[in-house]
Amino acid sequence: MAEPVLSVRNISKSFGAIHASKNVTLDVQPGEIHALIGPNGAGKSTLIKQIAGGMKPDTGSVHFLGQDVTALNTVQRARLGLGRSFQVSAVIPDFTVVENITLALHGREQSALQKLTNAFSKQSLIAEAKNHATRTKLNTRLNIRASALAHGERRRLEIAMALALKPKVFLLDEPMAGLGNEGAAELTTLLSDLKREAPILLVEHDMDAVFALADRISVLVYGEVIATGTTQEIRSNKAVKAAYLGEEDFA
Amino acid sequence: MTLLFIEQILNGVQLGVMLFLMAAGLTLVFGVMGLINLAHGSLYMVGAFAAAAVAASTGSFLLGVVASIVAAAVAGVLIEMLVIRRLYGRDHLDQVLATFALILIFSEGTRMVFGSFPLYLQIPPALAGPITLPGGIEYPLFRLTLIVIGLIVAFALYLLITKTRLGIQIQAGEEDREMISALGIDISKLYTFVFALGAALAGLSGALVGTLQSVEVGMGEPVLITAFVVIVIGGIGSIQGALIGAILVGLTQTLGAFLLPSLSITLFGSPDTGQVLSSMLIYILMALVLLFRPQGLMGVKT
Amino acid sequence: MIPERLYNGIIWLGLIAFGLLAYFIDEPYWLTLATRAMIFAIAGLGLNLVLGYGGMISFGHAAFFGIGGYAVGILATHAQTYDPIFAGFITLTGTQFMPYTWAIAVIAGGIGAALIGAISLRTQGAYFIMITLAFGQMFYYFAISWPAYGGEDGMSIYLRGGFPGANTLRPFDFFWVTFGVLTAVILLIRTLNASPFGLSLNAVRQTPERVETVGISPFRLRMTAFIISGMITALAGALFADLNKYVSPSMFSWTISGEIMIFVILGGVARLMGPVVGAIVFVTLEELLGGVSDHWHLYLGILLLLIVLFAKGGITGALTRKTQVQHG
Ligand SMILES: Nc1ncnc2c1ncn2[C@@H]1O[C@H](COP(=O)(O)OP(=O)(O)O)[C@@H](O)[C@H]1O
Ligand SMILES: [Mg+2]
Repeated sequence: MAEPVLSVRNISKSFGAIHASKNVTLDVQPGEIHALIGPNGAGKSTLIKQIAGGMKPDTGSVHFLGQDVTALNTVQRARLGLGRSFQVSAVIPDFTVVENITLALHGREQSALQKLTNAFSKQSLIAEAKNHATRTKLNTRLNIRASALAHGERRRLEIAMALALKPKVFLLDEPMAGLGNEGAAELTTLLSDLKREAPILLVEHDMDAVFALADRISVLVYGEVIATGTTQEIRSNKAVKAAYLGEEDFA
Repeated sequence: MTLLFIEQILNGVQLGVMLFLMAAGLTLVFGVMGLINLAHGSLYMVGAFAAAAVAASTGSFLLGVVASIVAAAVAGVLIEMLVIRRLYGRDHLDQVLATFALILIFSEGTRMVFGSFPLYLQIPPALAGPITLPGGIEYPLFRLTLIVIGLIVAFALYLLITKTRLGIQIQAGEEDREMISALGIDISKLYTFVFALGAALAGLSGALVGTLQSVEVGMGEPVLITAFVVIVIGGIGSIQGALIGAILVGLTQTLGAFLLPSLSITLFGSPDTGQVLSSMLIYILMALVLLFRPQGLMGVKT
Repeated sequence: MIPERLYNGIIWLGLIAFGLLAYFIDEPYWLTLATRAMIFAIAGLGLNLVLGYGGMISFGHAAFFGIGGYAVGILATHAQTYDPIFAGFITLTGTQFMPYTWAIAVIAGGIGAALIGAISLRTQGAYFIMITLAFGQMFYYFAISWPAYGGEDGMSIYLRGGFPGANTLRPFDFFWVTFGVLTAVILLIRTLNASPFGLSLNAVRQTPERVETVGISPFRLRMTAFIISGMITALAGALFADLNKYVSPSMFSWTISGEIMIFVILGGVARLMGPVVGAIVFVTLEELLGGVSDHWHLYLGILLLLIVLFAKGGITGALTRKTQVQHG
């Protein structure tokens, strides 16, 4: 196998008696979508936070592009090329769609503390922002404030902002949450397209989407990875079946 | 020297327990209602003026102290019902501004009633003069009384919060604001009570400290700011933190003012450096605590 | 309701008109009042950068106002006594040349802000408010207990500082000098707010975790804003010292922090001209109400309370509609 883009090694994290991550090891290979599934409260978001830098693991390490980034903070990791989306949309409510995406572009260009020009004066930047909006089907909503967007549109804006960073890996935390069938299908198409730009670590509840998209799947239960493998392997895995017993969407 | 030193330590503790009376109310109100109340110093002033007016007209210090508690509590209930309760859900900026407006109103209102000249509260004869402590230390009886009162109040607060139903409700409120309504507690009454309790403590400390100093408009804000230093050091929302922070600040302030000028004379030949430093000492203490524990000594990390 | 740009222009032109009017009808006192309002406006513009755009509720801006004032006071004292501030490997003498005294006030304000910011910006919310208030008070006690420069009594500046081409002793000239500074500060704030820095600062006020994930450090943004803000407010303090020809510890008092905040709130938080309008209204009310009643603070308190409870957005919010810019 090629050198993984991102690898998580033996990460553990507890909140008092809750073990949110138990000796978790997984990696993301170039060009793949690696899906992370598991019941609610399994520790998926906690793992994403530790990868993105918002939370320090108790033990274990995170490696990104061959570099140990465990000691780096969120900002430093983002600059190295981690593009994250949040489970609960965290866009800038008073900013319009274009403004939100432009913010991400300025983050990528590192212009926030360097240039005193107008933030919207560079035509190529605005054109690029619109481009990302178009890819996420927000091109008709360019000048609408994020607070006035529909839920699904805000989820797509999350993706657009991650896209704008031109990251080396995407960390997407339940991008389809609350989208409905049609929205999820659209996003599935977008994500399969996205993986050509950078590999994706995809946390997702929507099993149809996961099985349609993922090259590999890891299953997290009570903080522990109980299985990693291809779609086929996971479908037929006994432990996974046991853990998901009774959950209808695991077909 | 040692006797003098012990006396200064007692003075520090005395200042500390009085600061605690202020800080306890502030931190309770913040912990339970999430409100930052700049007008807490005004309640301190209200207590001091009520005590001075009642003591002067009745000749009884004790009645004055009772009046301070009642007046501050009543003022507390009034502003809670008229203004403060509209601020619970608002952001900190609104709270700061509205309670700053209350300071302006209280200060100017008090000036209209009492004028601009300071009033004086006399130490009651029974508590005047020094007392000889074990070890032969002569210490002002009144100051010692303040320490005792402060400790009694601290203990009573501890009992109230840990041993009574009301206290449990208050703790529940600190844990989780939604929960207490789920428990079927009348939140708005609880909030009014907590606010009045904090106000009463501030009023009491205004009367007691006002007896040592003078009673005048504007007396509350420097104490308020020092009480902020106390709760930042102790951890916002924590009553134990407030007590520890208050004693620490009281001792630092008093001992700094006592030791640094003379130290400065031996080192530099003039007390100036020591004086300047001692005036900044509690803020430096606060900065140090923040460097090592941004959440305060007893605060929980978020 | 008028567009905000038009409103801003009207305020700015209104100041010019007022200056000319007061001159031609020979009311030097009006000029001095307007100068005072403009100085307060500068202080408020400084605060608005952190409070309005950055969402940092600083209740300690009197520290910077005082630092600026004391910088001018100290430099003037040494200039007047021909006693160097520092004589060693280099000699630093006092000066009353405004461009120099302003520069030093601004640098000192920036250093003060960096120190206070380094500690207070590690915290947020209620902590930040209390800590900035406490540090403001620390400077106040420092000024009182520091005997070398007047202690509690402060310092008199016998002669107002000079500015090339102006006779600053004439209220008319000092008005225009101050107006020039005000205009420069307004332009600076406008430029900052429109820049990527301003965009990020406005974002950090709302959703700091998002700003982090796009690779911009919220701490550095806040710190930069806080330092610039401290510099601007220090500049106001410097002008205030020259206006009054006097500095005292009261420049550091917490009530000054509160008043600077009032300029911002009255006029409109996070509005370019908010602090300017707020300061003008404040000085006007102070003059009108303070003249007829000793208790004008009572009315101010009531007004502030009503604005906070019922009229967020201040005067600017009531009179203008925010221009919704279309980017493409
Ligand atoms: N900051 C925290 N403090 C305490 N417990 C937490 C914290 N964050 C998450 N948890 C707990 O850790 C577990 C995993 O949560 P999470 O990672 O959000 O799960 P998932 O995303 O898989 O639904 C849950 O039991 C949750 O309550
Ligand atoms: Mg989750």
